Amino acid sequence: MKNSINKNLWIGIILILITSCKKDFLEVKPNKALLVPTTLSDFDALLDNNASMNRSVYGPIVASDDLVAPDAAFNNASFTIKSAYSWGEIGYGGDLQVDWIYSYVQIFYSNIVLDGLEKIKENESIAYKNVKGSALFFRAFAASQLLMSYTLAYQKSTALKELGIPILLTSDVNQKYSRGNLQQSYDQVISDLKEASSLLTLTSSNAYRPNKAAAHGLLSRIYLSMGNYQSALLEADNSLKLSSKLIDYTMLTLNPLTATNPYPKIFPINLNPEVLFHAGVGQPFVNAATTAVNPEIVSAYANNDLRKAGMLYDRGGGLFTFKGRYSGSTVYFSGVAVNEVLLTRAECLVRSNKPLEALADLNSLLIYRYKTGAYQPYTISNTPNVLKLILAERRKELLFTGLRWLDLKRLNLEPDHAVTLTRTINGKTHVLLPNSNRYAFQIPDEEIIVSGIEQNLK
Amino acid sequence: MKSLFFILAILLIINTAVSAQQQIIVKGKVTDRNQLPLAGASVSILNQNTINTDSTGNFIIKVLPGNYWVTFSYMGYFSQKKLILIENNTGVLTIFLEANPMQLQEVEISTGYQKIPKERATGSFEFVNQQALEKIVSTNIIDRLQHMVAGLIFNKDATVASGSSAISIRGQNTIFANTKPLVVIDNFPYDGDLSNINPNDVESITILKDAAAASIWGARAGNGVIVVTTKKGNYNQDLRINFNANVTAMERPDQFYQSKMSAADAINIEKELFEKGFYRNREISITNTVLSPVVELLIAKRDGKLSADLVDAEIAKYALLDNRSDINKYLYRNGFNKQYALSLNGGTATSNYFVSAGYDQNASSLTGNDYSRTTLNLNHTYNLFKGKLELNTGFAFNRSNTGSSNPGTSSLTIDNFALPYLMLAGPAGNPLSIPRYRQAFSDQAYAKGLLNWEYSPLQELEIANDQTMQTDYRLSTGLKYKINSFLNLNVNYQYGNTNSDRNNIQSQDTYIVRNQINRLTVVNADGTFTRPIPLGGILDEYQSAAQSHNFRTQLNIDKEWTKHSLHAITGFEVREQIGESNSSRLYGYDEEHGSSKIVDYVSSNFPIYNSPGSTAAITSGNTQSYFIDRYRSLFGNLSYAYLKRYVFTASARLDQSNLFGVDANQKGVPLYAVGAGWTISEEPFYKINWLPELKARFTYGYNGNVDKTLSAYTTARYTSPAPNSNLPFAVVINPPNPSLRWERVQIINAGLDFATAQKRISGSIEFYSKKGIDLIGQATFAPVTGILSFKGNTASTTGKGVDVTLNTINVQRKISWYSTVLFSYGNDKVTEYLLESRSALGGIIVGKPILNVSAYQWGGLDPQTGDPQGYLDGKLSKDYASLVTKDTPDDLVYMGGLRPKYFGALRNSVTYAGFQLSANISYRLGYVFKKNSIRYYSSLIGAIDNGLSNGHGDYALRWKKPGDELLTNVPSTSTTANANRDSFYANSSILVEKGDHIRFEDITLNYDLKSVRGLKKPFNSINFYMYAKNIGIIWKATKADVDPDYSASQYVPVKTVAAGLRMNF
Repeated sequence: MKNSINKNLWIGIILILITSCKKDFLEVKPNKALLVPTTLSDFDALLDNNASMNRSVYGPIVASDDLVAPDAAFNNASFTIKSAYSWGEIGYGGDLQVDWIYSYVQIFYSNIVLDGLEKIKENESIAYKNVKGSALFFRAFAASQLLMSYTLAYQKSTALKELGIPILLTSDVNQKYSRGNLQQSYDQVISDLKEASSLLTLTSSNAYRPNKAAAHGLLSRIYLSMGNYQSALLEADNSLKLSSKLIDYTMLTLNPLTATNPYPKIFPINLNPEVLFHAGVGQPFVNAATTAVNPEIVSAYANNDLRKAGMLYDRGGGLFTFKGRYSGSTVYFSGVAVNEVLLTRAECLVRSNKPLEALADLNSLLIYRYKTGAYQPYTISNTPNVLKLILAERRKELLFTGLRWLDLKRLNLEPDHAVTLTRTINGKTHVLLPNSNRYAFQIPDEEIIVSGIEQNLK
Repeated sequence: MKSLFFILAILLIINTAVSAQQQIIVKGKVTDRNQLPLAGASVSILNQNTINTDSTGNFIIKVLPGNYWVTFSYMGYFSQKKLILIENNTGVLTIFLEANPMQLQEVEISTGYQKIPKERATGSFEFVNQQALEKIVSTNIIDRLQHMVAGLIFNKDATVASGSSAISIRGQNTIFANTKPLVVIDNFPYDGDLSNINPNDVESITILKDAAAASIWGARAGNGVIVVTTKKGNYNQDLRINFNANVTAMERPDQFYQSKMSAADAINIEKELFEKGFYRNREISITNTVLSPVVELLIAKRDGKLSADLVDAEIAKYALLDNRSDINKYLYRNGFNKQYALSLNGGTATSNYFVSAGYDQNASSLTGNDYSRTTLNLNHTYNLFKGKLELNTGFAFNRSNTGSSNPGTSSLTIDNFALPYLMLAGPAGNPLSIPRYRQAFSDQAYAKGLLNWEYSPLQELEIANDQTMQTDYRLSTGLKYKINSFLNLNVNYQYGNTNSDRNNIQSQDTYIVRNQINRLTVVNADGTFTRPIPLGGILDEYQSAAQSHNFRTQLNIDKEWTKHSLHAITGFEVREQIGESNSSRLYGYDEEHGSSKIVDYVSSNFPIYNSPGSTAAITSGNTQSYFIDRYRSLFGNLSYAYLKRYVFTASARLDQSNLFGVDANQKGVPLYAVGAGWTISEEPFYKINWLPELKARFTYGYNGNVDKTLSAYTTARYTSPAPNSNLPFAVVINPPNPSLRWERVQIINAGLDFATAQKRISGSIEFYSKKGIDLIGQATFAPVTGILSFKGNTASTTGKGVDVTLNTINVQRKISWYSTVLFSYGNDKVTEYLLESRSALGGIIVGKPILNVSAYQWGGLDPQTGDPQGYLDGKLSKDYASLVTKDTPDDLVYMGGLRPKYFGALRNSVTYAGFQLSANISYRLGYVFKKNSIRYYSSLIGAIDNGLSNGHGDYALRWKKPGDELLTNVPSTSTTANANRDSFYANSSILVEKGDHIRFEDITLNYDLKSVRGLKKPFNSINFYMYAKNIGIIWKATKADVDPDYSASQYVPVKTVAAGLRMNF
């Protein structure tokens, strides 16, 4: 017994002597889970960090008129939520907001991947191109979310003077940066998305990763927000050519009295044909049992419109909670989906004087949203104002995706569509005038203090 | 020399006759009281001729016949001067030397690489011998070091920052890297759980405090080193058996230690909140958020479902309750520990052995939580080839079982409110339930056929079954080859293995399982159930295993000339440590058959029964991790002495490790130290008679520390599948940092060792200064960079301190009285730190200690409203939003450090006729602590709850009417109260108190049967002992009714009394 123990010990000694003399004794990774990202699969894994990469901003959802909060809900809310909801004196922000931070984490990750890809020699493979396209897409998506939250609406005439947002292009944490102008920011997003759309594959491994149609779809959203209807139309078209399937609401199990989300799962295989790219954000305040959908939207649904049962949960007392999240979870979907792209195309068509084609797009969407046989297609003759109709349908279709904020900003530039928002909180009326500076949230103090970039006007 | 402790026995045996005027040979042996031979003891005759005993304690003297004064002395023992008549018939002399408890410094200290006599050392070593360690009764060896040596502090509850070490040697020298001292057992570092070591197997402990002492341990020595030396056998010694048994009884924890809000007050708040509509959201919540029984009653009253009288009467009953009596009765008990240890040792001329076994059984204060430990130790040494080669083998085994089924009081809440009237049992002792959802909802669900949805703490206690088994063993072997008279080659290898397996068997009857099952249950139209989480229990298993290989070759040079002596070691060391851990969860677990059921981890669409509209996925709980640490080191240590009074030492070490993602040249760090010692009292010119021993020491050098979480490259970590996508993914944990370096601590140490005549006063005083260089610090980065802060070598610290140890022999007669005084002063401060923290509240402040307290200046309560007031631009203000943002170091009042600047102990021992009584008083001075008080805003709930979730007893002392501000500092409740008002008060200077206090730590009574009555064979010694701990605070600076070191604890460490018996035969 003793001898055999000793023998084993000596074998151990000899082994350790041999191994320790080898040069790579100290080269072994201290933790299996660690990596210095260098390979395509490492970069894939970084982009698959969906808790960070597929997170969208919530400021626009809280601040938009999709949501109403009774005083009790408002009073119990956090400071950040309160200031976003009330377009407060101090403006949304000031404190360290996750919206700002997470978007820049996405840009940082994308840049790590893009920097790393430069060092890979074999750069012609489909896999390489797809990872590069994904990283560019993520960078552009994050920037587009930041533009939605922290800048004023894009106007060609003023874009060179208006403040943009910093978009870093490398992962060096020590680089100097400034906000640049709005034109530069939009140019960067567009060039990233153009390149991404040429690199991405037709289908992605899962909905948390973008595909070609998603890149075109996001590009059409960007152009729309810039008022560039021609390019928006072209990109929407490009996207719909690749993917245009819609959910048939008659096939869903809908019940206005339960809060069960009716949409098919997007994981592990995306069964929701409309979702091109998934992003979303959880927000307890929006989700709270005490806040509700703006009654204006609730009353806008026709009786035969299945979306009312699919998207809203009737709490009684005229209060409705939004449940129609394409994420299939408590996360508010704000990725890219076919319904948005289709509505964008419809709007661009009517703005390009093609009302017939616009209505065709609209009808092709709504036919899937109504009870079987109940939908009466819109025609030119029964539609006095096609644009107003499309914008109204856009609101009913895309509520709680944050897009309302983007729409408010761009439509406020048109006197016909401009809206003054009002909210009565604890007996006090709060007003948000069209084109108010408060449409651009305040940048977190931390950022301003440390990097010294310019703050938005209050 | 008349002390009773000096037992002298001289046996006379007729010897061979030698003619007169011829030298006579006399043999003798020097042993300790237990007849263990003392090798190397000096025997000096007439101060002329000095010889040393051999390895078996034997000596031979050759002198002419006559009367001689012979002095026998040995380090750590009282010397004996005897008049011995040497003549022809003088037989074999046997001398017993009595251990001297005060001569702690006259010892052979161990660095883990070599043993050196203290005289040869220049560095700062502290030595704790077996006798001192045996004075304390504890399961854990490290606990016995408390108040034993200067400079070592136990960071108690209030002063332990999360994640930092429970003990510090000469303060903290790092901000983010490891703060724990390195623990070495015999030859190699031990990274396992220190409670695995049986204290009865420990021979001595050496603490290495400065660079010269610790730099041999290089990059891991930055926090100091604790070297534990275990017991070994002796050559030429008969079998000896040691037996030790003791029991420790503990007081029940005092549940009334912290001031808590009364049930009547809590109910009043609930009523106020109810009136204000506070519960309205919860009441109509679709998630069926639980409401307290009182709120349910108030709702019933409002809705007319119960009469007002009935409700008021019911509520009045609740107001009289206090669940702390139930907590005390059912969740806690008198803890009780038992400890048994048996050891055998002995040896022949060519081999020796030490074999021991130990068993501990502890019943913790929390009812049902038990701990048991079995240890086994085998150590053999063989002397081969006539002493040329020594082979040592060792096997140490430990197994412990920990039951942690009782979670304590953490779950006794309703919706974050720890309501004092939530009793655990009814009047008849029947278990009561605490609702977890609305009562009506859980009743309804139960009626529909779902599992019972109530939580009963007492039933949970009955069925909980959470056990951890830990097995730890070490196999070691060592070879010592004597190349020639001055060269030795040592080769040592140790294999260590630790396994821990925690099984938390949660049966279907446990609340956690019932809740999991119910949560996802779907009631089908036909009344059947779909249960994504199947019926049956849930087994959570956590396994971890660690293995270590240590290998060292070392060359020792020991050469003495008449005037010079040289002692040096040099060697090479390799160390590898591999750790692995897994966790897994089984659903539908059937304990009897060990079977489980499959669940769908993929879907995230299971509707939540109690929260319509929300869906959830099933938590998988399967994880795995693996790490491997490798070190490769070269080391050397040299000590040169001239005339034995001038000593120079130097030591150097190069460490390399598999630090991840760092260039090869940065993986290593060379560290060195030099030192000098001068025994002034040996100089011919030294004439101070009252101070016969005086030695000065000076050292300078560097120790290192390492933060393995950082890397020079962008590094990422793979993480378990995300719940949403089920994809494995990677997170960036480290942005690139090409200039990452190891942390270093520069230490300068100057010391003086002294002793007066007959060691009436002896001790040492040491001054040190430290500089933390290249410390890992944080720097703020703007969010646009994608990171918020960045860790790099951006910080530095300095520290200064004094350690004083004084041993005095106050009275030495029939009754003897000894004292030991320990005094430590330590003052560290951050000198460089790049993170411009927005808040200096508890953050790093340049120029202040790492752990510190700053506070808002307190301006008293507003006499009109009872609002707390602060100062803005020198004027009283209640603008809390502005007050709380003024929190830079300049705005705040600096209150002090969180760790004592001055600390130490005074131990007094009195001996009389076999009795030894020893008492320890400790003091900690020069620090502050933060007192808890009421908070009216709950950050957990995100709303004002008038202090209900906080539940502090200060509520009763709050300002209620004008004039109260003269009697109290507790702000009023207020409708305009907000988080800022609370933050201001909670962080104001009024709640910061001085921590200074003096504590009566422990008292030991020892009774030695042998010295009183003598013992017959087979007994060598029998000792009875009693030990009482945590006796109480004698004096404290604060008037607050809390223990400064446990201000935030649920209760203070309980008083314990132990009794035991130690036998040697």
